Amino acid sequence: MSSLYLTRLKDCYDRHRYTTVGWTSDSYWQQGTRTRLPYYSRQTLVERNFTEQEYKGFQIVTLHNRYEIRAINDLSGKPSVDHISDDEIGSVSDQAEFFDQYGSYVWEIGTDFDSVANLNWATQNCVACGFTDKTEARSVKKAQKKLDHLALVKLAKDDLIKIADERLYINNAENPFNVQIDDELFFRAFGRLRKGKVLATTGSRFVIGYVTPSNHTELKYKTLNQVDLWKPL
Amino acid sequence: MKSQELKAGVEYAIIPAWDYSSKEKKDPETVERRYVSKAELVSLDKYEYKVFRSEHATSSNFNPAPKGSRSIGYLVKSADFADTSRGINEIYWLARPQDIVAEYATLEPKWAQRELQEKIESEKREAERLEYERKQKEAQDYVNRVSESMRDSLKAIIGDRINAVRIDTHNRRDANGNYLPTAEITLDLKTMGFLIEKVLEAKDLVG
Repeated sequence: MSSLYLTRLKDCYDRHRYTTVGWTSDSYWQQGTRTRLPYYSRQTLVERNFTEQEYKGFQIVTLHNRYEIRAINDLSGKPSVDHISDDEIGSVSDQAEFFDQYGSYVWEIGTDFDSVANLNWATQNCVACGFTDKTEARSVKKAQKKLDHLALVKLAKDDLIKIADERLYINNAENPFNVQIDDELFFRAFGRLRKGKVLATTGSRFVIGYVTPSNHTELKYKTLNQVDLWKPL
Repeated sequence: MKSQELKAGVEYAIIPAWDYSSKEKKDPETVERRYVSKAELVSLDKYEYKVFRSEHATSSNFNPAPKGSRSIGYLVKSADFADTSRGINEIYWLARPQDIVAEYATLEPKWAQRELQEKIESEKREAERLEYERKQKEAQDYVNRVSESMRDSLKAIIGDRINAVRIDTHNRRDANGNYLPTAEITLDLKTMGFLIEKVLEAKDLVG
């Protein structure tokens, strides 16, 4: 049984002009990556799957694309390294290679947005997306790493809303001597110093959660060094 | 530096935990004096790494690292951040092995050499600048002097009409490409006519 998030995403992929199974492209760039293929190739989307899992109050929907790659031969029957025009294509290689690509979408569970039945675009109101990788586990792990921080921001949301509109000018600020979890400090974001709350550390840096005064829905955080944190003089 | 190479009681160049760490700062070849602090390794005991500084080595924030932990730091102390107004002479913090760049004593001669070189170059640049300014001033004084003497000579010939004569100074390049002050005299037609008359009169007198 699919969750509403997965159902909605699948429906969006079907309704809009996203690539569908059977989609083909000729290029020397591997689809969706920065890798250059050895030859100018025909890439076909041969398989698409969705999986999902719940994590700390968020729904992670992972998309799997499987591409088939066949080198394109020129009129002399040799594969071409560079781009060749359609009238110079002689044949397409019989030997196929495959590569898998995974990416994840994340939605927060239990928000007003759950009542929206149709997505206008795949990433509409998702809290995070991307996390592309060669395996599902790695894509999900990347998403979970971000969600670990977002879950903390979600817990501290009420406090963050209270301090969102506080202001400080850099001339009246200094770096704190030490920073501890739960400290409320200022940092640079969206054009001015904004106040947030220290939620965790990553060893050498601090995860500071915040929301903006005009948008209390979007959970935001920054990972900053101590020298980028400020307190009033 | 690698943990095995560290020795307790030795002073190292260490990137402070609360500051940015970068490849350039970590490299003993490219690190600069201002990037690091001179800090002594207090002991080889491994602590749970945390960005925290304290006046006391026994702070409750310095906890031993759990066995097998990869996030470790060594306790170091430095007098670079002494604040005598608050009675703080030394600051203790935990430094990651990768933030310990090299022994301070090995870097000091390199920095001294580099700073000496920079000082020599800076002095050379300063001397060149002063020499250039001296030459410019000399040239400007020469032009001013010649302009004044020319004005006096003209005044002897054309009298009060000298007020209609303008002498301007512009910077122009000479044939060698040097940018030098050059004076230009502007006369109106009446004054020029008067001057020609005077020249012709003088010619007649001589003739």
